Amino acid sequence: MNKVDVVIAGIGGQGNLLVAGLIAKAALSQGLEAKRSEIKGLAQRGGPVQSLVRIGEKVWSPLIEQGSADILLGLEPVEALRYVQFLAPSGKAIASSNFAPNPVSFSQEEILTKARNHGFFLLPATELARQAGNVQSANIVVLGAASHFFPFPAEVFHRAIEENVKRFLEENLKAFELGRQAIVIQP
Amino acid sequence: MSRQLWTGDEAVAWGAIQAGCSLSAAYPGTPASEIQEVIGKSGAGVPVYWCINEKVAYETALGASYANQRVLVSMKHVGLNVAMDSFMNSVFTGVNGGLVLAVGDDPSMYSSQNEQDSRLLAAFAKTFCLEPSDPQEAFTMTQTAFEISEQLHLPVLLRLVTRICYGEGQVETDFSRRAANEILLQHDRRRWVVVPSNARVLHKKLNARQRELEAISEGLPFNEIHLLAKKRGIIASGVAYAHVREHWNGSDSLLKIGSYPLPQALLQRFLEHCQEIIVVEEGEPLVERALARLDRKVHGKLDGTFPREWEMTPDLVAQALTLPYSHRPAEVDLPPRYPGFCAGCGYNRAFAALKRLAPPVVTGDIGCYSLAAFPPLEVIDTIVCMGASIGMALGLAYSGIKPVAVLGDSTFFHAGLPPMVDAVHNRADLLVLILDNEITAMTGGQPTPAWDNDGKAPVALEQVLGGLGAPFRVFNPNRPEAELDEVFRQAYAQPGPMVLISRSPCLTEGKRRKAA
Repeated sequence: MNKVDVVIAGIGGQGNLLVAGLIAKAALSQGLEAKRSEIKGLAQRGGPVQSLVRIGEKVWSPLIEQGSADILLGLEPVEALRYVQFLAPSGKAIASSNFAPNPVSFSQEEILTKARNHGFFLLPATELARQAGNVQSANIVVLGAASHFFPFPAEVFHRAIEENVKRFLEENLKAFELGRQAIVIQP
Repeated sequence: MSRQLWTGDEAVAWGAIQAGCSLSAAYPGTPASEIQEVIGKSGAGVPVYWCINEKVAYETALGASYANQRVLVSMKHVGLNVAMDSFMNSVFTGVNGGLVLAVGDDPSMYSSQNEQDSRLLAAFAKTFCLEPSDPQEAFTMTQTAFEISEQLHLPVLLRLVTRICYGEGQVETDFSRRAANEILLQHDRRRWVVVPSNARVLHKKLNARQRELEAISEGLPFNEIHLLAKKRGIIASGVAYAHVREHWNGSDSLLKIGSYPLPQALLQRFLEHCQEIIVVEEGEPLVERALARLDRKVHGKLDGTFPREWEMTPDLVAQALTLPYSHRPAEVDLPPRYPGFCAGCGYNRAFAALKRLAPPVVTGDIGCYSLAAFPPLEVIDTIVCMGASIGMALGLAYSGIKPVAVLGDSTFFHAGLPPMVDAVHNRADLLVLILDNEITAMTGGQPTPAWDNDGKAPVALEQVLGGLGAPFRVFNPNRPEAELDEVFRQAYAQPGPMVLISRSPCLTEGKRRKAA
């Protein structure tokens, strides 16, 4: 494996940084290197949050070039589309189809159509998280769905979640599984 | 040895702890706030002081250094402007115990009012500077910085940038700790009293020692040279070096810079080898300028190879090295998303009342409340720097315009106090609105002097204003609109200075603390 570059897009309060941390820690447990970078600031006032995670045998830069991300992980459909230029031609985009509140008015259906046109896998992460028993675990649902595209088995993520998530552990593990099952990978 | 996944801020914090640091002083500021947060939460027993501003933080550190202790002082780049007087003069006096000044620059201004390159300020002060390219180096360099500081008896500036501070990477450490220095008082007034007669001698000495600084820089492992057959060379420093390494295929010669003053002999060797040079650095073209006077083809920010503003990226490096570069176009037609006040935030209601009051001008300050300069509120007219709300309001009041100055509680203590004294003394006709959420919210909830935690003596705003003789009124912004309008109307109608304190605790930080 050479490297996996991941862009995680969402808004403040969605647990963006937790997902980035879990990916980095999972990679580290597999003897890989990891670099993670994030932009906060006004994030906790509902602004956009973007995390970058890069894993591989040797990782230098904390930043990801446009057109080179292997995975775009969207915790919110509009925010995911905002970073579509980072995706490599062969990259995979996985995003929640549930919208976060935004006072600006727009057509949700148009956004979802755009996402589909860009080849996104969309899943109702918030609804699945509710099924798992904790509506706040939508971030873990999306991680579960994206987990198919990482070079290690789901158990590595399970362990990372067990070691790093203190609250709602059972619910988060279930959320991960529901997300993982939401995407069927053709062999 | 164990392998940690640390941000640059965490790496600096642990580097200091393991180097035997005895005290940490700071004023919070993105992206450097977490350095002291981490030291405080580490359980290592290193006392941390959230000072009222960066100047006080620096002087606190200098005082502890005078007693031979190793000290870390951290701040954001614009914070160093506030501490600049103390920093400059401490290079004349020198230090006793190692003093490391960690500064978080913010290229691209993710959370700042300007872009500054602190390497220039280290050069301006004529002291030593280290610049890490990843968290591992941030950790090692912090420890080296203490050694160099004690070897030279000078403060050492550790230049960080947002992508280092908030960038996580693996760091090897055994968690061993060097013993703290013995507390020692050795007076040397010729060095520590910078009256002109002493200062004249000290400046001469400082200049004479610059070669010593260069010699140390020359020998550090943070500078690395790779001379290769191809006559094109790349010089890169700090996080820009990491971007370059991402693209470096081993055919161009490469010089990594990690310390300042620049390692001159190394530069000379590199220059003699290469016909053409590309300089990649974060911030100002400092290395590039040092080369530009030489008769050589040098590319960088001065000739437009790289933009002069905003952070360096691997994309820019790829383009400068004329590597194949392709990307899909951005999705342009998306609804924007603006940050806004948190649900239920008292600031929102106070600003709505201020908007209804409609004074001719509202001078603002640094904090969450900068949101009130944007739609839908658009009530703040100026934001310049910490404390400038009251400072500028003075000039407006002296010009016959009655302003309202708005600032937060922590900002008031930081730099609002001195102009408040002027306002009282000159009977300046202005209204000051202090938004008191009882915390330093924007940077993650650091304490203010009004807190009585850990047995500290709370310094209440009422006490301070009462002592100054400034009339004030405290109100709850969650009261009905009509009541708020009456409070604002009365306060503004009264000849100034008058102070309104809008008091409602920060809900976001309160929730977070409850969760923790």
